[in-house]
Amino acid sequence: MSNQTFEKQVNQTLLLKDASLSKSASSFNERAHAALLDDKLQQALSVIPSGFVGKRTKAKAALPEFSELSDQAVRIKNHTLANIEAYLEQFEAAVQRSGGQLHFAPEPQDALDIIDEICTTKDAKLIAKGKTMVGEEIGLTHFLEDKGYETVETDLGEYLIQLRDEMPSHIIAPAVHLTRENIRKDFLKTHKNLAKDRKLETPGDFVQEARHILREKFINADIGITGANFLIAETGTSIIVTNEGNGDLCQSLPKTHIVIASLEKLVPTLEDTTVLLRLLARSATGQSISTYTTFATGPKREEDTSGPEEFHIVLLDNGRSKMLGSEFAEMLRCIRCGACLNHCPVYQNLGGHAYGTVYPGPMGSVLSPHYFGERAKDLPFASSFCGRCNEVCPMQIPLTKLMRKLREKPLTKRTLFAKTSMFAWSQLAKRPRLYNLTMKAVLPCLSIAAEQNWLMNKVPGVKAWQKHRTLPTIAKTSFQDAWNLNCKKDSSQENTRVKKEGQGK
Amino acid sequence: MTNITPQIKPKESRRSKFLKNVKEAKKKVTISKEQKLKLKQQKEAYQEFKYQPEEKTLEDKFAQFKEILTSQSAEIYECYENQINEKLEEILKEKPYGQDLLIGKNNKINSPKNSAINFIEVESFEKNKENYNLNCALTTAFAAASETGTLFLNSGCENPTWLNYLATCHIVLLDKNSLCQTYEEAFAKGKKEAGLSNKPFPPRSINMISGPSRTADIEQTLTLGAHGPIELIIIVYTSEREV
Repeated sequence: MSNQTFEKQVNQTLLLKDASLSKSASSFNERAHAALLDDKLQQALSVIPSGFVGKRTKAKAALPEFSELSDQAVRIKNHTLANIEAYLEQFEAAVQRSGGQLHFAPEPQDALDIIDEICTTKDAKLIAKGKTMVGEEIGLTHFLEDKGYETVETDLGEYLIQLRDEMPSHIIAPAVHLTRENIRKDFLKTHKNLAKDRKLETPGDFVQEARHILREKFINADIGITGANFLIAETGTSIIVTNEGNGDLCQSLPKTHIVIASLEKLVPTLEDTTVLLRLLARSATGQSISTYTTFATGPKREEDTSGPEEFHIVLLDNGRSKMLGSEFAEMLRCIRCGACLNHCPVYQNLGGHAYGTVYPGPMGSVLSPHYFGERAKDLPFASSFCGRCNEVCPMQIPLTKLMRKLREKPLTKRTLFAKTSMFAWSQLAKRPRLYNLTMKAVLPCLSIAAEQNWLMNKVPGVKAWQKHRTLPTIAKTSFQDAWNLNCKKDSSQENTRVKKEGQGK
Repeated sequence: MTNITPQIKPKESRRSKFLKNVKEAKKKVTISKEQKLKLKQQKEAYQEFKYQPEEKTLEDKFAQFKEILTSQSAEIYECYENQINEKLEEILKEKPYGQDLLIGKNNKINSPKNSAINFIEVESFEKNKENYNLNCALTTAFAAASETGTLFLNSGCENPTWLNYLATCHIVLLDKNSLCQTYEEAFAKGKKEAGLSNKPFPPRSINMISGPSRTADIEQTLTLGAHGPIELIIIVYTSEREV
């Protein structure tokens, strides 16, 4: 029952968001189409390859132990997941020992209710929120706003998209799809007390204005909510990694600190997190480490003069335990660095909104069907299976393998057309002789058709394919035929050469 | 550990449902014997790998630390322990932030009275809420790791966490001898010192700081001073006669 309410709510907010960003397109294909035609989006996305990709390559090269650290990180997460029950209990005990509270939330609605209960008890009016993908997953900000709390996103990227009522388009750079022009309009519209003719040109102008506006929110917030990059079972610690310092203000100024995190964030010890930290920033932004990494354990201590008086951790399941017992368990190793997004040719061309859920890119294509069910069912098909995501994943998650498995699932079943054509293809591919014969007949026809574009568009499936690409000219003969022919030529040339040499002697 | 009892208690029903789900999922895991053996080995030896780069001398560590932090737009100064006050005066004279310097209670340099600097010892954030746009604040790092140019700061009354983030210009004191090479060494040092002074470890907050606050959220252009300090200044002091 509670789950249904949640789904309804999420679908509502997402419909609202979809409408604002891709003209209420309901399928991945439609949204992708809209994204490709959006010039401003394409302009914004053009920085990804030169930015994230290049910086990651450099950062990885500068750390010779990178692959050993990656192996170790995989061992740590596998070990933790294999013993998750023990670590959950150890974590709970440690949080309590340090004076905090651990709340288990099997379903998203549970997490929302818990947070609402804490906010009500504390008579909260203003909530300062750090960046949390789990929060995005459960629609936390919208929920709190609907409950009447003034809820402010404090990560600059999240703030920018909050002003537009949009979803994040990237897990670490939520506003990567926005240009300065977009932001200027939003700032002029929202920050009404500031002079209308103020200078808003350089990135610095925007950052200064947001700093000025948000600082007041930090100071007056009753509750600070942050996510967690890792949770330490041994000490009951939550760890956040930021560059702006917003998360730290959220968790050091307000009197109550709430952490919203999911169960797979657990690692056994403090020392284990150092291994993961070395991989995280390098894979994410190409920095050797993010500017601020903060370990928060319990509320302020008796002798401390400042710090939150209450410390709550809300631990979400939402489908993760199901993954744990399935063939998708490896996905729970994900540390949300976003490297797979940055390197994905599909993501690079479409941005995150086309995926229609808060987790885009290859990692999202595996996660979203698990967390959001029906509305993410076509995401496992949003990949060309080029395999770059597998290569760059610091946690060595076989993303394309998992997407392929998901394509077989009933929820993500293909269309009848796709099914029949795949079946026909597989039958053909299994029979080399039949395949060669068919190709001999089909190729010359296709090749002629390719010269006449209108004719080619009559071939089933090709018109849709050609919308954003041009089909390369098809050769008249198959590769195999060409190879055989060449081999014959070669051997006859070889023969003549041998003959000549023989004559020379 | 703390005398404030939270009013909100976690619900037992949610807890048992959560743990039951996890338990049931674990039962479903069907793995081959080979995988089981591999997992068992991982369980026993998952921590066998230790990150141990080639050991550096203190001077080499310092050079690396300085190079990385300077490239991250932080400023680094060196001085003797008994010259910290002069160094601070010198630095603040160059900066446009005035002579006020916020500092925790029982701080390292004992807020000298005869200084050109106006040391303001702060208590709770609540009491300083009115003027939250602080210019300069000073806190002390208990260690630093040269591998990525990272400072380690504990929370506590002598080192209030909010000073690290609200000041426009954040000044950090670091004893050169507490400069480590790796994060692991720095944490080990923190643990050891907490043990010696009978304090729980970890404290409420450990802040790893590797430069002034920044963001790249506007068109992926790096911009300093997002929410935290625009400037990070590090004073590395030595007690020995030779720097």
